[in-house]
Amino acid sequence: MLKLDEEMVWTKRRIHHLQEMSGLAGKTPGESVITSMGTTGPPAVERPVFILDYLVSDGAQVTRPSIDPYREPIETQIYLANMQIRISMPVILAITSEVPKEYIKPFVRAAYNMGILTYLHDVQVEYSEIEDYQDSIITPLEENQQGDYVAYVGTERKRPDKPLFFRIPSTEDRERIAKAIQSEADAILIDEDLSTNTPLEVAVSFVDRFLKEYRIEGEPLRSRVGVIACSSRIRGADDVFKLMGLGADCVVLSKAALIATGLTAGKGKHDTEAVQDMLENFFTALQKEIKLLAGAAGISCLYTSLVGSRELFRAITLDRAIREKLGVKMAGVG
Amino acid sequence: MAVELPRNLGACGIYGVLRKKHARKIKAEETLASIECVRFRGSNLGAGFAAYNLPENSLTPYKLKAFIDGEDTLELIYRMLSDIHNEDIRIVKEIGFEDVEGSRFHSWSVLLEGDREKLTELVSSVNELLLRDGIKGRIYSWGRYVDVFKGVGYPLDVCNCFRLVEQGIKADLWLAHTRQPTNSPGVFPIWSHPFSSNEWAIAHNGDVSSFGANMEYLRYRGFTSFVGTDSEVMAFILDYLTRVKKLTLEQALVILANPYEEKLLSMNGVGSETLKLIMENRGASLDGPFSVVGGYCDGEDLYLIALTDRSKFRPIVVGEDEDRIYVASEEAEIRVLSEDAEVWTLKPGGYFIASLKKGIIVKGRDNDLVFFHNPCRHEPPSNALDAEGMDYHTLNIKLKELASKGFREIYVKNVKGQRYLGVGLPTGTRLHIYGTPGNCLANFNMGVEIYVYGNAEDDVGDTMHGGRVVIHGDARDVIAQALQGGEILVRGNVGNRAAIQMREYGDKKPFLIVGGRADDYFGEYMAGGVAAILGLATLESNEEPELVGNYVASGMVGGRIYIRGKVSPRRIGYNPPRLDVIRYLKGLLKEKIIDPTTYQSLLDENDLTYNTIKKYLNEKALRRINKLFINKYFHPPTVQYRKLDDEDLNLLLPALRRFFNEFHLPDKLLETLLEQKFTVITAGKQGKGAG
Repeated sequence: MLKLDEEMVWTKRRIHHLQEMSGLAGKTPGESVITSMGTTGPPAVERPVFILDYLVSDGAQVTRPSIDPYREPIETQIYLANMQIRISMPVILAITSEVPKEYIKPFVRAAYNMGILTYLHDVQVEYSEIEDYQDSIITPLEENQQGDYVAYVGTERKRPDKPLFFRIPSTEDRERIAKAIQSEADAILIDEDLSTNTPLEVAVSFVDRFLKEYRIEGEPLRSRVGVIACSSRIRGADDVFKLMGLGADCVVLSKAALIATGLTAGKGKHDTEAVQDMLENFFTALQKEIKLLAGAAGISCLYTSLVGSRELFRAITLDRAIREKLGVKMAGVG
Repeated sequence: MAVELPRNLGACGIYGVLRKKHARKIKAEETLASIECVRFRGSNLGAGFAAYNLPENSLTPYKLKAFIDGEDTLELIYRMLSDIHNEDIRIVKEIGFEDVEGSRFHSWSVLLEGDREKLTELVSSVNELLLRDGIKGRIYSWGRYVDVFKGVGYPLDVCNCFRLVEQGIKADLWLAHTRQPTNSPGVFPIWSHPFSSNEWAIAHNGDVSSFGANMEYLRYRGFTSFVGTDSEVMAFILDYLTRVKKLTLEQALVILANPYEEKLLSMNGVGSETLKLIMENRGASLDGPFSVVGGYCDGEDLYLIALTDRSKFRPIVVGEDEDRIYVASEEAEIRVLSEDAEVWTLKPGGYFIASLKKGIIVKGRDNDLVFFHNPCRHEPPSNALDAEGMDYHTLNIKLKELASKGFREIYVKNVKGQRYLGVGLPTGTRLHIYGTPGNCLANFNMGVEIYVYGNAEDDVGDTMHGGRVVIHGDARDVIAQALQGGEILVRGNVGNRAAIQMREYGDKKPFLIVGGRADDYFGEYMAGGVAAILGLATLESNEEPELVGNYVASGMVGGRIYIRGKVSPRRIGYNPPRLDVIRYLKGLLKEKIIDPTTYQSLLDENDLTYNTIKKYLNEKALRRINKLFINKYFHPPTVQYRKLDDEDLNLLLPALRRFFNEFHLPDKLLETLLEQKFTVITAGKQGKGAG
C-alpha cells in the first residue's frame, strides 16, 4: 500500500463517523451520519489525502430532481458473474489477519445477513465454522509467481462452476490484465494493498476501460467481466460512490469495518453477538449513505447509471495527467 | 412574421403524431399548430421537426443533411463523401442549401446511395472532424425515411425558415420540439432537437442522470462524436440496439425504461429475461427525469414511440382518434387537432408503441378497463368567452377584467392549455371552463369555484387554501399538492404524485375525492386532510383491479387516505427489496432464531412488508430485522382494511354526497359504495430506530 500517515487517512472525524454508524458511538445505530448541505471534508476544509478527495459529484438541481431514499426507491443491488451473484449493495467485507479469530464468524454472518459477500483476504480460517455461509464467501486459491491469484465463491475447493475472481495489484500493466481475461474470470479484483505505485483510482479506471476496449464479437468484454476495487484505505460511502463512478462494480473494505466495531488494537473486547450487530448496523448505515449520495445526484439505480459514469464527477485541482487517466473533467467544465 | 411573446422560462415541449393506415397524410401546419400551442414551454433557443414517410418503394436514397458554416466545411464534407476509397457510398443528387435563421450556419442536403454501415461510420468521422477545432458544422440526419428540420428559434421560426408550409410538406409521422436549454447551449442549430441517427429521430424533455453511463456505453460501440445532449444519446442507443444488436423495438425500449428490479422479479420468467437484457446492455438504460417521443422506420413499417422515467418526473400523454395517434407533453397539443381523441397518460416508467400499419401496439398502461374515461360533453352557454388562439397571459387578464366588472359566473370556452386559470380571481367567483385548461389550474386558490368540463393537465390546486375545483374528466400529475383547504373532486382518474404534502391547519381540512384511480406516490408525505379513491368504473363489475400504483402514503405523517378495495401491502409506503428481506430471514434461520416453518411461511407471502413479517416473527427476530424497514425518518404507515365506521362517515360522507350530486350519479351507486370495504391508511407510529 502507498505509504501514508495513518492519522491523515483515519482522522478523528472519520473514526467517529464510522463508530456512530455501527452504534459504538452516538445514539442512532444504523443511521446515516450525513446531515446537511456543506462539508468539512476534503479538499475544501480537511487536507486531501487520496485522488478520491479531489473528486466531487454533480448534484441534482431544478431540472434533475434529487431522490429521497427514505420515501423513494434507489436501487443499490449489484450483479456479478453473469447474474450468478446478486449483492444488496456495492460492498464486500474483507476479513484480514487483523480480525481476531473469534470474530470471523460474526463478520461472515453480518455480511451474509446484509446480502453482501465476505472476502477472505490473506487469512487462515477454519472452514468448517463457516461452511453454512459458503455461497457468500470469496476464498483465495492458486497463486502465480507474480502474486496474482484466483478466488472462488464458496469454501469447497474443487468446484469449477463457481464464480471466479482474478486478483491483481492496482496496476496499469496490460499483460497482467490480459492474463486475468485469459483465465476467464468473472471479475477482476484490484487490490491496492498489494501494490506500491499505482493508485487504486487510476487502476480501476484503467481496467474498466481496458475491458471496454477489448471486444468479443463486437461487444465490449466489460459487459461480462466485473471490476472490484479493494483497499484497506476505503473509508466510507463517499469512497465507494466515487470508485464506482470510475468504473468499479463494487468495493471491498476491511479496516473501516474494524474501526467501526472498535476492533482495532487496544479497543477492548466485545461479545460476538454485539460485534455482529454493530457490523449489520454499520452496513445498514453505509447503504443509506450510498443512497443519499446517489439521490443527491438524481440517480435511482447504481448498477446501470453510476458504474463508470465519469461525466457525473469533476476534479478540483487535480493534475491534468491524472484527470486524463481517470477520464474526469476539471471542475467548471460543462 | 413571428410574433415574439413575453419571455417566460419554460421546460421543453414535445409532440408526435402518426396517421392511421386509412387516413390522409398530416400537413406541416397541423403539426406546427400543435407544438405552437405550448410555445411557452420552449424558448427562442431551438426548435425542430422530423417528418417520416414510408414509401411504396423502399429504395428511397439516404438524405444526408448537415449544418455548415462556410465553403471550406462544405468542401471537406464533399471530399469525404466522394473519396475514391469510399466506393461503398455514392452521391445520387445534391439538393443544396437552405438558410438557417439567426445563426452562422446553413443547412445543406445531398441524396446518397450505398452501404448503411459504411455511411454510419463515415458520418461519425466527418462529425468528429467538424467539432475538432471549434464548431464548423454537423451532419444531423442521414436516414432514408426521415427528414429533420431544425434551427434556432421557436417552432414557427424553424417552420418558416425551411418553408415547410409554403412547400406543402406532408408526412405519415411528425415529431416536433420546442426547447428550453438547460445543460447544453442553444445558440447554434446543432443543439436543437430532434436528434437523428439512421432511421431514428428523438425529441425529449428532461435531464437524464445516466448521461455519463450512456456516453460510456456508446463510446465503446463505435460512436465517437457527440454534441452532448440527452436526445442525441438516446437516438444513438436506440439506433445501436435495433440496427446492430437487432433487438426488437419493445426490447430496446424496455432497456431504456429500465424497470425496477422488484417489478421485474415479480413478473417471473419474462421479468428475469428483461433483467438479463438490461444487465447485458448496462449503460444503455436511462435514469433521472425524462419524457421522450421518437420516430422509427424499419423499411416495412413506421413507428411512433414514447417513454417516461420511473418516477415520471416529466409530463407525457398519448391519444388516439379515428384518424391519428398522438404523443404530447400536454393534452392541449392533441386537442388542437382533435376534440374527440381519447387521451391517457403513460404509467411511471411506461412506454408506448404505435405503427402506421398496426395502430397502437403497446398502450403504456396496464388496465384499460380502469383507466380510460371519457368525460361527457357539456355545451358552453352562448355568452361564454372564447379562448381560441388566446395566449394564457391575455386570457387571465380578460378573466380578471370580467371579475372586476362584477361578474361572478364566468364561462370560457375553447380552452386549450392556457395556464394559471383561476389564479387571483376574487373569492366567490365561479369559473366554468370548457376545454382543456393548462397546468397550474387553481394554484393558491383561496375561494374560487372552478368547474372543468373536460380533462385538466398537471398541478391542479397546488397550495390551495379554499374554494372548490370540480373536474368532469381526468386530471394528470401532482393534483392537490400541498392542498390545505377546500375540496377537489375529480370524476375520472388522477396521475402520479396526487395528494402529496396535503396538510390541514386551524379549521381547514382539505378533501380530494377521485372517482377513478391514481398512479404512484398517492398521498406521499401527506400531513393532513382527506384523500379518497373510489374506483367507480369497476364498482359494480366483477373485476377487482388495484386502484393505486406503488409507494402510496410513502413518508406520510398525518391525514387520512381511503382507497376502495384491498390495496396490496407492498404498494403502501416504501419497502426494502424482497430479495434483501429473504436473505436476512435466511440468515435468521441459519442462526436458529427462526424455525424452518416460519421461514417457509414467510417465503409463501406475496408481500414481505413490516406489517406482514410482524405477524410471524418472535421478538428477537423482529428486533434484528427491523433495521431493514424502520429508521429515524420513516415509519410504515398504519393500514386497515375494513368497512367505513361512524367516524369515517362523519368525516367523508358530506364530501361524497357533494361528489355524487355534482356528477349526477345515482344514490343507489353511493349506497353500493358505502357497503364496500376500504383500505384506510393513516400515519405510522414513531418507533424506535434500528439496533
